[in-house]
Amino acid sequence: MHAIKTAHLAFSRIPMEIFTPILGMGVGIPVRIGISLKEMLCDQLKMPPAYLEQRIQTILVNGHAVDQVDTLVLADGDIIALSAAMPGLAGAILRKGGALSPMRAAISQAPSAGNAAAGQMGTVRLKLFNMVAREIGPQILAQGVWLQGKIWAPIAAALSQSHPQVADIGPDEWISVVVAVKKE
Amino acid sequence: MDKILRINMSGPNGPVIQTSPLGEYAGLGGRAMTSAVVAKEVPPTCHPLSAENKLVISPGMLSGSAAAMSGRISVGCKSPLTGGIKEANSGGQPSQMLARLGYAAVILEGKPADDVLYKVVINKDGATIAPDNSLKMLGNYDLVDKMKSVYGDQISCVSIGQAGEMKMAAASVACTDMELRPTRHAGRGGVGAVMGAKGVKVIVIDDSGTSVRQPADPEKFKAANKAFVAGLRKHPVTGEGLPAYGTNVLTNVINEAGGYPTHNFSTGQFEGASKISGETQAELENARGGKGAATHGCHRGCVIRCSGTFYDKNGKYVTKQPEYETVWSHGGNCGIDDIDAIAQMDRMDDDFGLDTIEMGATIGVAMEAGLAQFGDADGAIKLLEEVGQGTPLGRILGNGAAVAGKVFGIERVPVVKNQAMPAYDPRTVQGMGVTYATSTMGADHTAGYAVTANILGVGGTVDPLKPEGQVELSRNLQIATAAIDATGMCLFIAFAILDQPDTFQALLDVISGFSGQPLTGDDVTNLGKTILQNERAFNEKAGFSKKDDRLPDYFKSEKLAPHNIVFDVSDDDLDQVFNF
Repeated sequence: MHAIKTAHLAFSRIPMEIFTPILGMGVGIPVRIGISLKEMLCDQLKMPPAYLEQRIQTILVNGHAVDQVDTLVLADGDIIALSAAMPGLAGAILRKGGALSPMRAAISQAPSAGNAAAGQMGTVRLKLFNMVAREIGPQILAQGVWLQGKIWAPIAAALSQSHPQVADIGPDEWISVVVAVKKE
Repeated sequence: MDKILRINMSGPNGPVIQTSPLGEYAGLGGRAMTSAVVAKEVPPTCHPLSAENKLVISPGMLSGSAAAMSGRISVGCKSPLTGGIKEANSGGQPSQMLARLGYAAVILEGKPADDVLYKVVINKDGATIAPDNSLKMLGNYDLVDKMKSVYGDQISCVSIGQAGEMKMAAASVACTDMELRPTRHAGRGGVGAVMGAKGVKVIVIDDSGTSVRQPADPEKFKAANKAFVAGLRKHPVTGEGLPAYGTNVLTNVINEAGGYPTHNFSTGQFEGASKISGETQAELENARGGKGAATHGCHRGCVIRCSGTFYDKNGKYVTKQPEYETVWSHGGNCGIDDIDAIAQMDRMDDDFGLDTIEMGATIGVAMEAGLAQFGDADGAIKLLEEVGQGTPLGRILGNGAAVAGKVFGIERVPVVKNQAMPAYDPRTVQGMGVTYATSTMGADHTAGYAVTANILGVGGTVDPLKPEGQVELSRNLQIATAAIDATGMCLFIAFAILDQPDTFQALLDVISGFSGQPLTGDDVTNLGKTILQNERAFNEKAGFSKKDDRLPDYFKSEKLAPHNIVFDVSDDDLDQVFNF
């Protein structure tokens, strides 16, 4: 993927009713690959380790439930989903390192084989759910995310009044979006 | 709760009401009561709609007290859907009111000789029953409005809609909520059909003149309840996630894990999941506004408040906030990503008196049979209308996914013991599949839900690295859940007591402070085991064997995308679940 345009959006209050579904569908993040998930989240995205440890209770990488964030090595194109603690038996089963993890052994993340691509740049798709989207979504949006045209189009339409300069792109093209809070 | 109300509908001159002491059922409530009565008094081989079956309605042991989260009510009988024992439970106001009136159970027995429909009224002066054929074929909403016009707005109602009157196997028993709307349902297993067979349309409960049930040890109870509430409020699930997003917060995560049954369990991810997720639903509800929009309790005394109120785009009330299971069944399972259409179907289910899980699963089967296209919301609504109208097609669909699958020649029918599976594909979350397969209730996500072995110490400590761990965990969860179902406590307390030992201790202290008897984790375990043993024994006498503790074969052969996995827990392992 390659972003061909950049949109800088500034709001007095970030309209999370627009961005929450987008964060749930996933945003592109350019990152170094071949490093651990924990390094990516804490070093590159500046997530406090305590937040990762305590607040984020379910992590899925390519649909596999993750128990060990410091040994899972990322590859280009990985899809990473982050969630706070979830209700229901399924919520408990999917928790990282939870006592009920054997009940989802079929989809638990296997240990990574190695980090041959360490240091190279790539892109991951980051999905933020529930409280996590609400709490760190603005920070991630401020750092800049990549959106595909078909996801960007309804946002551009919704923001056409407040941000008439927003760019049009094709449905399969990518745009880099940086969201900021206006200083009063 | 010191008495049982029995209404024998087979009396020679009409129904006979009798109030009796608790006797051998003393100390029981909720699922412990319903399953004990059914196991002892109902012939296991009887026809579920016959005079021999009994419908047992029982508040939880703590209901009617000041204990937080204690407003669940159990409805039990022999199930017309599964042919086995059934306990379905519900929130709403009836549990608290019945308990304050002193009734540990209301038992409907026998069967009326004529085609008359009856109305029961229970208040501090006792119970009365009277024929009222003007109620025939009313939906639950109109029915409750009519009761409100007669008895005022301080009542609660336990009722059936058209589906119960037509004795459909997917029929629910409705319980009114704090706003006196029939939005809370003992949904599973066709309990509404049994109430319909008894000829009882509605039970009106008025607890005016009663007071909160008093604990035996007020100081201990009060302190423990305070600690229990504090524990619920500080936990991220019960204090934040559920109040903010409701149970539908699960949609995105289960979908991402590839365990979201889509298009009648043919794949594990739904492209439109984000549009119907709890996050999107909450944003929509908050934007539309209205009283109790995204955060609301289902009964007084609820401190989690995982429910909400769904208004349409014009601000008109539609239904309560659809639960995750409902959004899945009528949504992703049928390929529908329109939250307003899903809310409309939730309203229709509540009004007709239908189990939303069973109906969504049934419509999914019907769609596979070509009765509508996946994704066709209007088509799904029309199928549901057929059920409410009782057309021949509607009668087929209203009897559940297994019947519909047989009628239309569909192999992919997601049921265990004829009960439709809920919103988690057992190929992805295989431990859930163990519970689906072996539960006494048929496929049921709430059957193995509550506290883990490491707190209760059921069967020793489970080694999470052993492959058989999911069998042991399922067993332990089913035992613990049965016990919680007896207390009247909402199962969502499970997470706070799972993670916070002090909150678990507070729960034990709430119960023992109320009863005046000491209580340990072992006592809870033994209660759960007794309930399950009662249920298991009933099912065996009804003709169930280990061959019924199986998932449909296609789960073992059809690979589920995106993980391309099958259910591979062996039959031998499944047969170990009830080895206690």
